[in-house]
Amino acid sequence: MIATKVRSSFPTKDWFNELAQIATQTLDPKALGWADLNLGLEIIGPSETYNVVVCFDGYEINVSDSTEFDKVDAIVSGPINVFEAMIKDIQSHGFAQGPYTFNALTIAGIPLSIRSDDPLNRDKVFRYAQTIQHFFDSAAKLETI
Amino acid sequence: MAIDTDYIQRAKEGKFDLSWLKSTKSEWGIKATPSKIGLTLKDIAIGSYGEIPEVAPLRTMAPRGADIDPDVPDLGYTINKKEEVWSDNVMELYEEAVSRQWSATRDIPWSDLPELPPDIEHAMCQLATLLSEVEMVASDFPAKWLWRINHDFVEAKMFLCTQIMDEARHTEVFRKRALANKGGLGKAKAVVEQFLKLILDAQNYDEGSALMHLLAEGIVLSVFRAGEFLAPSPVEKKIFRLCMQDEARHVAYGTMHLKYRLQRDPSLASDFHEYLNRGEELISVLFTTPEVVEPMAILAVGGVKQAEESGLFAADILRTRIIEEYLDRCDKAGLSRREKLNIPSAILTGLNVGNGGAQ
Repeated sequence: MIATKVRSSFPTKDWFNELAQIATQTLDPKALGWADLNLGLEIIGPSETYNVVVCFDGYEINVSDSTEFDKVDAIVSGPINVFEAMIKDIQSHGFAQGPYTFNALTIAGIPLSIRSDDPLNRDKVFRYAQTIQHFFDSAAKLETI
Repeated sequence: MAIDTDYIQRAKEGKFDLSWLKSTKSEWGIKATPSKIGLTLKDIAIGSYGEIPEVAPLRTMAPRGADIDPDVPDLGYTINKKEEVWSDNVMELYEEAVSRQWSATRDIPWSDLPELPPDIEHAMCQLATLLSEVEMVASDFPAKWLWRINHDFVEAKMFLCTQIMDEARHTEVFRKRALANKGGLGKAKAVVEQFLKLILDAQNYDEGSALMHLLAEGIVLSVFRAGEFLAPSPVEKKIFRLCMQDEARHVAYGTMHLKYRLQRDPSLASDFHEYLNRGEELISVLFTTPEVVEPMAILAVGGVKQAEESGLFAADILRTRIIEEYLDRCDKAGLSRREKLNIPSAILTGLNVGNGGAQ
């Protein structure tokens, strides 16, 4: 049973740690397999930008302190209100609906963009698409303030 | 080969031969250490087994590192150079493929398919028909070449086996989608078959791999991304996400294989340009084929009427994205197509290409 009582504010290290923990606990290794991706999230707020690195490491998902933001495989960047709308949609429906899936938000480069110096590292975002969606969909189980 | 009929009698008497135990050239004591995800191909690439020859010394199915009989038959492989099939990421991609297999029967929530407006269902079924039609060529092509590849490069063969299974599953899942929601299969176009024939008829592995792994699968990867975006329900979204993962592995192999090949023989660049020239020409026709373009345009805006009002806006974005990502991968492989892209300028609006497009 996954705890859902934790109240964390978005975007904070605590929130992403909680999310990563839930996502790891609920990840079915036989269904999703392992992943190997360091994904930077660049969440642009009105006054400051919040950066976080999510490490998809084998069958675990962690938020990294040690991985430098400019050395990740790929960076997903966009306004905080888009991330907030995605989380709200996930929490309303249990998983992301039509326009709020991670792929849908990034495919056109707006409202979220994916950037990487290496097209194969960018393509890793597609190689692990279902795992990344699982990570974000885990927000349904995370009480957010 | 002679049958040693006396052997049975000697063995019954306990007189074992044991030459395999006593005189085999072995590396007794060698011990591979599992990594975090288990014992991988990279983990066992140790000792003489881990030494992959540039040119295979024999043409047998024996594992590298084995003590091979001098009188083994020649199995007739025609691809005997590592550079012809190798990529530096092939072991990782094999492990990833095995780890991330899924079932079109079990893992798609088919019973959740909602009833859709007829034009949306038609569009979805036409897209599913197209994808089911094209995906199997990416099984047929590697299968055609697999037996010709020397077993010293078995990791590449094993990866291609995963690709064959992946593409069988893609063929399956899109047929199932077309037939699962009252729509049925749609139109199969000659131009699509012409492109598939180009891949299947490739004169060598280089040509087929460039056309399939780099060009065709790169495009299909983008179509899967678009499909996930445009999908009318969570059921199709999951189908496209799972297919996207598989396809991206194949593209990663193709890109890195081309890079590996060109690093060792840069003179092949002109051949690869020629292969891709021919492929891009047919791709250009696909970009103007209604059965290919219009279903996605309709799914993007939610119906035929809406599409008639908004035109091909969504298809334009997708096409631009497809070509940009393809050009990026060509750059990564060391084969810039930006000056040589054989796609008409009318299709290339907004793209960063040097030639401005073919006329």
